[in-house]
Amino acid sequence: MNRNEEVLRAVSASRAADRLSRRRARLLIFVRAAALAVVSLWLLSRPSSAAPSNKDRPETARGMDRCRCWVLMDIESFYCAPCLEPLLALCRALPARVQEDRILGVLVYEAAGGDERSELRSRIVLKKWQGFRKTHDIRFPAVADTGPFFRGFLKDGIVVLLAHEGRNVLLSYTLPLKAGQLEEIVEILSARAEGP
Amino acid sequence: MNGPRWMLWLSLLAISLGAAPPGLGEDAVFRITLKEVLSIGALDDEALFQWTGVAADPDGFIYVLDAMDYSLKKFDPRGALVKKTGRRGQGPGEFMVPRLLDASPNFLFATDQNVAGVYVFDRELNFIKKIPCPALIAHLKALGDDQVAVAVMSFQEPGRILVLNGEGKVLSEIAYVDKNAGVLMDSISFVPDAEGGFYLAYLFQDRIEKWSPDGKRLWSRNLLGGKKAETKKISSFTLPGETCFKDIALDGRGHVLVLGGRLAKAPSRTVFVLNTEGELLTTFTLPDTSHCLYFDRGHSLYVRANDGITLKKYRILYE
Repeated sequence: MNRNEEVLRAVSASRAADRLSRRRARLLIFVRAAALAVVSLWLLSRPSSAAPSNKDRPETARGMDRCRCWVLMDIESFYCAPCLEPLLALCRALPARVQEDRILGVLVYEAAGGDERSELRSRIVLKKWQGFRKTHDIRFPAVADTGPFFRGFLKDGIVVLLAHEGRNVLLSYTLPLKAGQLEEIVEILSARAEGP
Repeated sequence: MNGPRWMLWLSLLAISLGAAPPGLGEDAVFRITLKEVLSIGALDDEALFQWTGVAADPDGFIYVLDAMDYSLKKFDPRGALVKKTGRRGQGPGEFMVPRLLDASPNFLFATDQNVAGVYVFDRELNFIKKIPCPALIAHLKALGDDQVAVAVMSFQEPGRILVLNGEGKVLSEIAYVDKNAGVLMDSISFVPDAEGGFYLAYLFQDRIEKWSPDGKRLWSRNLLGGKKAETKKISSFTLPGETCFKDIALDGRGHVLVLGGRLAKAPSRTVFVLNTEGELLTTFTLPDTSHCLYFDRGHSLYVRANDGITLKKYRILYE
């Protein structure tokens, strides 16, 4: 085997590894997006978020089949004016229909001891969200969650997860958004909202 | 169904309170029982979403600041919402983070967390004016229609209590710490007494103090065995991570009530009852966690429940 063949084989092997790596990455993205969808549907089907007093429920159920964007929030961040402003800016930039159909808020909170206590905490969190949402005319519904899945994403502030079907990727944005990110989110969500 | 069941459970718990804690044993001079007389805000209504400050006027109307909808609300003595004002913003009568509230016979005094000043409203919730203040306000008490006492704090100077008139002129000042003990370590809650002195509870230190009107420390007590609040480093700052105390108030009998913080036996629920010399008389436990203690002119106690969506009013029974 001459030197050229060796190089060609190495390049070929490298390309194969790259293809494999990309396939794995796509698979990983698909798995994460699928997991998100499953977790969202599970959250919506839980009795705590489907309590009769929860006015979010009908809208949530209506919109979930098209939801591809999750806004992960810690209720405590609502008391921090600078933390809140980027979320309000995002909501102002998104048309009502896009918010209602495409976005699901996830209120991540600490679990309390015992099922009954946890359910009470969940209802308290949703009640606060109800007041906050009404005040700011936010249109997307939300569910409350204590699980580790969404908490894992929530580190330095409010997080927007966006499944980009065209590029087959799951995009993650931490608020405050960097330059151009708000426009990117609005464009992706609005484009999809115009579909069937 | 779970909401009403919880409310019933909390009410029964409140009524059954009263046992002196083990630590006090025979030293307890009396026992305190709470009887719930009013509850505002439930899981399925829109009365309160996250109340922060409460005050009551001489006619029994109750005023509440709500941080979740940036409002000041007025409830009648039976707990029905009468009026609501305020919205998110920085204009007159608007709030970004509404926080402290107190009432004089004719006016309400409110603060916004990041604003160096006191907003004045009349009892119909009309915004009257803003009293300027030289620094951000950590605690507030109305001394009369034209006078407020505020605890102010800044990075540069140690905490002080200032008595301001309606125009913001400093009438008197108590420098309760000699030097800055660290960021937020001089945070206090305070309550004035009838003679013009002040009782202080340090939020992040195990210290309860009484100060005379002319600025002399009369006594200082520990209630938590000298426990120290843990600190955590955030960026270049070392900040206290646990509260020793949350609030201090005077009941109708001249007792000093101190709400324990995270380091208390029942965090945010244990209430220490002291006499005017700072001697511990007894303790009792609130049914739910609270961030404040407020007494109206009829000596009823107002505290938080359900993490701020419910306001409870209790009558205190002394046995």
